[in-house]
Amino acid sequence: MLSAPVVPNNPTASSAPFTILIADDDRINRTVLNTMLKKDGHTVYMAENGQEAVTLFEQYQPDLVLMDVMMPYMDGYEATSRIKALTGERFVPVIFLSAMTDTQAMVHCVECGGDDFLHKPYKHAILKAKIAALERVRQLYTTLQAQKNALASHHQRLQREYEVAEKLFSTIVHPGCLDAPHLKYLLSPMAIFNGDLLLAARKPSGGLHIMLGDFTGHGLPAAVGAMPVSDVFYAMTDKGYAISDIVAEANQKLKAILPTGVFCAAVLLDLDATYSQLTVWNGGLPDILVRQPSGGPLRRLRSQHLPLGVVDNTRLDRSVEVIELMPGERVYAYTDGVIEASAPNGEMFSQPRLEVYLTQDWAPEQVFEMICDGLTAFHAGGPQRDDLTLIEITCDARLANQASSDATASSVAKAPACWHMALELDAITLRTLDPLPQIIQILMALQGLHAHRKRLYTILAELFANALEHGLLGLDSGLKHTPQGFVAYYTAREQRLAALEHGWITISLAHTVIGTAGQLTLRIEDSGPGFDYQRCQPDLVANTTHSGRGIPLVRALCQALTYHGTGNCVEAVYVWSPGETNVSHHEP
Amino acid sequence: MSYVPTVLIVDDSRLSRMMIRTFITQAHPDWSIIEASNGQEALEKTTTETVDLMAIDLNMPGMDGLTLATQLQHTHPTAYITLVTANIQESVRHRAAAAGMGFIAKPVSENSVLACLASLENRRA
Repeated sequence: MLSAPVVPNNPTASSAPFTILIADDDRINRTVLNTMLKKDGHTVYMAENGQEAVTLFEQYQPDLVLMDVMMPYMDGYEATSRIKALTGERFVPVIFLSAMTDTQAMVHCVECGGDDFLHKPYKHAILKAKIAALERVRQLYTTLQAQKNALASHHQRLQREYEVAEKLFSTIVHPGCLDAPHLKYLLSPMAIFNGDLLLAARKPSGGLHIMLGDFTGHGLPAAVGAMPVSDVFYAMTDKGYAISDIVAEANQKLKAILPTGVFCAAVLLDLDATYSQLTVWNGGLPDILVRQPSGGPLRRLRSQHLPLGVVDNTRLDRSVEVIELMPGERVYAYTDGVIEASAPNGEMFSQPRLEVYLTQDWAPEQVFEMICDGLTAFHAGGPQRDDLTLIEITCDARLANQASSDATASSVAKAPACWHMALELDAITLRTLDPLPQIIQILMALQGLHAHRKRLYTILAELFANALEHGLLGLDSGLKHTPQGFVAYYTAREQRLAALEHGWITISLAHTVIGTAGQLTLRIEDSGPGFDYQRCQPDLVANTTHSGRGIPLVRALCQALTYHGTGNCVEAVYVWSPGETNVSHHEP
Repeated sequence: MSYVPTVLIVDDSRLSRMMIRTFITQAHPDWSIIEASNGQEALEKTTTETVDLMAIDLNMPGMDGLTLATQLQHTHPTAYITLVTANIQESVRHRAAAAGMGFIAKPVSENSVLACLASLENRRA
């Protein structure tokens, strides 16, 4: 709280007693003044010359000085200069009392720091009035000074609090793996705290989750919501949850904490490990644009949903769109700050202008910089009205893998132990639950296999997807060989899963100790018809283009991979050693 | 065939337009909606249209919302005009109320848009 100092605003302030210094070499003058001022209740100190005046001033710090001009040892001009140099931030009025009448002398008095001038002989009433007037000025000055100091310390405290909050904020809302070589981004907040949010995290299975958010408003109030969202995003991505689950959790959090009318327009992107498949949830942000390496027509993913924090989860649509990406394509997501950036004349940068930049046949790696330069030139130093964020994602699996290979495991594996667990999931459970994050969690808790997490997740995810999509839902992966088929495949997957009435999948994990190593056996069985695994083997090997990395990758990651029964049961064996940091399996 | 109302939304913020459109569409999927991002565009898009409801942002670059609303009131005397604004000055409120206009408070919420639709229904009843 800023508290204003008490201002003595008393019209009879002239009668308030204060300390006055008189400097005059004439004894009679001093005595007369002394008697008069003491009668008014003031405390008086007397100096016989300039030098003594300076000494007494230092000693008693008076509120007002009455100064003669002509004095021995040091004259009034010199004494006034020295006294004014001693006052610092205090305002101590000096009134010259002199018999001199020439203009030059008066000018000199003011130049030395004098505040007023009175001719001798003077009327006492006039002197009293001058003292009263200068006292009012002095009090005003004191009040201003106190307010200035209060403001300065208030500002300083605010600055410190901002710094602490900023540090806390940037620890929680950290950029994750935005520094990856296939990502370029522009963050331009209009205040210290950004109302836009840009997060990126690697998935346990490889690939990437990216979240771009734009909270209503700017500055601190807008940024507060970023903290819980960021927490949810990183924690759930790390545990292997899908973006639709993250959307639901973030929406629930924001709906609970944000006041009505404050919300977060957001895009969540899920890029698979090969950068050939993009899953999107767009709630209220501008169209996401996909640029071909040569420019030309853009593919767009429009907002299909309300922003986060507007409706509760019962009315939230968490359905996602899945598209196929071609090597070298670039994905652009941005907040309204980009298309609503305004030129000094009020004109907006606009969606069409952004798309002109993206459709040019420029070299792909120059496009992002061209847009940034274009924005700066358009803006031309005018005031920024909104936070502004733009991200470019290059679909280049080579760059992406290079980025994920430097991810290091922080935890140490536990000594191999013997245990077994089995899970049977019926149709109702499969419709609503993705069991993989929970299974990986249990696996980490039991064996601490953090260094193996990505590989284990990939094996589990591929085998589970096969059991569900081919075993139970009867989808044909051959569909995925064309871009149209690709979309059709995922649409059919969603429809058939929602309508799933019968069937089951069992997942069992058994861990044993072999010498010093640990061996994990993973068995997944489904109620589907199975397939002729001996005859289909070559197909499986070839089936990598459009369906993730598929069975060949799983085979490369495992010690053994075998099919049983009618092909509806698959068993994978994964061997690991404690203390092993560089896992020897090679990814294709 | 029953009468289908037309709504004009004028706001320089794409997000605000989208929110208002979504809330109206959820309540009345068949209503026809015209969007404009500034005053000039709003005038151009409504020259040959009958508009029943207008939601006009007060604070826009170029022509301000109140000027636009006053112009549209002359060309579309039967339309119910609401001003969308974050800070409603008393003087503006009085002038707008005297001219028969309504208000939607910013940031736009489902309730404030539904309240505005309710006052339109009341006028037509």
